Amino acid sequence: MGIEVYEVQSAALGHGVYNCKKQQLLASGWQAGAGDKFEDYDETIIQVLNVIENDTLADYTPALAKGDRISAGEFRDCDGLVFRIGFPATPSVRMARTTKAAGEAQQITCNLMGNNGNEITTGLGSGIEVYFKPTNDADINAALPRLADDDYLFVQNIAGKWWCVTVLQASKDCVCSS
Amino acid sequence: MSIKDSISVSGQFDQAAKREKLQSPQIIQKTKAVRHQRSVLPDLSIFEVQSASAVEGVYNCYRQTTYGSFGPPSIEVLNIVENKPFFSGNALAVGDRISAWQMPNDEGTMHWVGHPATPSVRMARTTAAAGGSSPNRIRCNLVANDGETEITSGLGSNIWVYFKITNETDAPNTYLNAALPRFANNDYLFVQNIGGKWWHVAILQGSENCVCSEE
Repeated sequence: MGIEVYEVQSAALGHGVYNCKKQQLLASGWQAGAGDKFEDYDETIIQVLNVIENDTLADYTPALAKGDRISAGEFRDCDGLVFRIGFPATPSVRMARTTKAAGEAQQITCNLMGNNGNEITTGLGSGIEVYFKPTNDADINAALPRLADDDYLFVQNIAGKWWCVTVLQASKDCVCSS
Repeated sequence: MSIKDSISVSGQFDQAAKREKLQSPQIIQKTKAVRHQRSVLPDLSIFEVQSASAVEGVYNCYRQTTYGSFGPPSIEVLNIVENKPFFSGNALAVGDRISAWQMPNDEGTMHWVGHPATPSVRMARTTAAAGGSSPNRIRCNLVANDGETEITSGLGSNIWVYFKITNETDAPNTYLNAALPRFANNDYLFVQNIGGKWWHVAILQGSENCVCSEE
């Protein structure tokens, strides 16, 4: 068996493992304006390991969302057990949207943007905690850029934790002198 | 999916593995004797992007060998990360490489499908200064994979790079020339293609210029 493409349905037990459906490449998809070139091969749920999430923190948040795709091959271990292991077909930096304004903390709850450009408001990819590294260890309501509710930001999952990939600058609000 | 369902699916995974084991005792014995991990290796090939095809996410490529480029004719390869872009901008540039394998479609025709051998986040260079109108974007050239050469013509040149500025809901008319960092012509920035659109991967802060008072 060669490499197959799978679509994430939900997170499975075990960090980096997802419940997926195998995908079929469509003849109708290989033309301009066709949209998605894949569809579900069948309804069978198959577990696939995203190898990038192989070794994650104990406090783990999945790096993939429902609808993401993984290209995976079969691997057989020393005992003959077969695993499907692959790489995600998604950019590593993703867009997300805040669900509240910056507070006295170094994190905000956000929703990921899906591969269709829409905000993921339920299920895998929604309600994720995004962490920040402001300079001087500031809270994000005392740092710039100052994030409001419904603001967009760029995030990446590193070892099972979502990070904003913009370094915020600690700041102090003051009044401009005219 | 409930935990019970997850356990059930995990059980399927384990059961499938056990069936594989029972059906292939010879393979198991050989594996145990050798004591290394076996995997099924697909026929992967490396391709170099020459131009974009008319199909979104598909590129005209030359197959690569360790001796150099093997082409023309060019071969169409799908960058699976661009499978279904919701905008029309290409994510790859001339000279980028794709690692691809062959997949059959539902009519049995084989297509090359692969993953790009480039970092997701790339460097780009502005060809104009930050402007004062909507949408918040600047024309840029990508920097090639050598990390130095600006792509000034063809695929990867003259791309629109879009920006997100904080507080869009309450301050929707904040433009790039009133945000920080303030981009000038020939400035470098870091960008990523998401869904067919290039984005600067840092949030900008709306700002107001004022005069510093001397202490």
